[in-house]
Amino acid sequence: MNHPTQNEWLLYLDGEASPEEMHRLLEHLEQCPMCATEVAGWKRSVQKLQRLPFPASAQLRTDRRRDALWASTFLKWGLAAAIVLFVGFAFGRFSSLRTNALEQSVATQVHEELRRELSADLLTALDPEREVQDEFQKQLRVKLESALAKTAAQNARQYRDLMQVAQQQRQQDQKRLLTLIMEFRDQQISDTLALRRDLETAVSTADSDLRQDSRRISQLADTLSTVQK
Amino acid sequence: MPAVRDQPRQNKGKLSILAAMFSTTDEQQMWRVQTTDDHAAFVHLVQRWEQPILRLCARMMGNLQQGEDLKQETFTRIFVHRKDFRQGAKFSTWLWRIALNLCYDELRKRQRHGEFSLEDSAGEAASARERVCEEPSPDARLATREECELVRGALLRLPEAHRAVLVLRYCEGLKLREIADILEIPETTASSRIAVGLAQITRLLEPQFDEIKAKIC
Repeated sequence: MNHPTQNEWLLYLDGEASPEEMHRLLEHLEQCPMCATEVAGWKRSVQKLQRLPFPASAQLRTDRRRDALWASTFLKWGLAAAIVLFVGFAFGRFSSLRTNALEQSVATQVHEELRRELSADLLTALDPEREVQDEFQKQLRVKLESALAKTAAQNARQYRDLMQVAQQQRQQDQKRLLTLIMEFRDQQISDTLALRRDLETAVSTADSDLRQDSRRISQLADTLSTVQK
Repeated sequence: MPAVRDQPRQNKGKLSILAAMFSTTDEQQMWRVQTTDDHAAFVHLVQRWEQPILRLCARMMGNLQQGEDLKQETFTRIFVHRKDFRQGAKFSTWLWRIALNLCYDELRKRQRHGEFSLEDSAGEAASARERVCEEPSPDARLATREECELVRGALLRLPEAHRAVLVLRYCEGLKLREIADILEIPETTASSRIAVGLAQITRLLEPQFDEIKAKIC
């Protein structure tokens, strides 16, 4: 009997075999108990692997249990502390009820005296402090004014410097412009002179040509009259 | 009525298609990280992939804490070697490969230092069973938990190459083509490795499951 290959069984397990192939493999499984056992084992393993939970779960359970343990410990300690506080408070309240009227009146007197003395002390203590505060404010004001004056002077100086620089720059620009204008004017004059020179030359040349032509014309007229005669 | 009930679902489907059209792919995000060191894009990639990578590393190492460490190492390496990502390559393949290589390195380191050996782990399943038995719980629940421990133990006893393909194929649900790309091997080799790994894990698991069944019965 020809057994299918491992790769063929893999395709069967993944459901990726063609219908004909699937049919052939199923037929083989019915006839071959050895392959059937092996493939069934593979199938179980695949299912186990696919269902295998993330390893975090066990760890997380332990962590959660540990957290819960911590929480319960803290809760117990907190409860114990609250009970101790409550007992202390109740004891204090209970013992205060037992003070008699004499103790209360003495306490009131002492309290009044203490209050008076303390307020007097406080007033005397506050006065110099006020002086100190005034002095401090004065010093602060003086310092602020001097700082402001210094800043204003510095600003004025900077402004002056800036203006000087701007003026210098402006003068330089004016000079440069003047130089340019002068250069342009000189150039224009020289161009005009050259043009005039050229025109004069042309005029004189034309004049001499005209004279020469008129001379020739008169000569020609003389020649004609001689011929006619 | 059913049509009315289905309406929001259809709208949701359309919306998800629209969202998919306008959302950026992993490769685009990686391109941003590569070219402009875009931290927001890298955070997006980490958020998208940290759980799958953690699962792979934890399953390969059999330990959540080490899985967490290797996950962080993987993303650190991705950022450090961001310029090495080739345009046109698939980001997920590159990421899985780096994570898997780090797992291999760590496992080799452990073997060198004698912390862990595949031969020594033969008794792991038994000890796991003992640990589980210490906790009082219903029989069925105990059996399920015991089964999980056995599968984990069996996975750890497989050679790294076979463990990796089984985890990628059956725990992470990757296609054969993707596994072949990640491991840079032909598809037929990947398929053979899966088959061999499956045969090995079945040989390890079957007798132990029979024991559990006998115990429950």
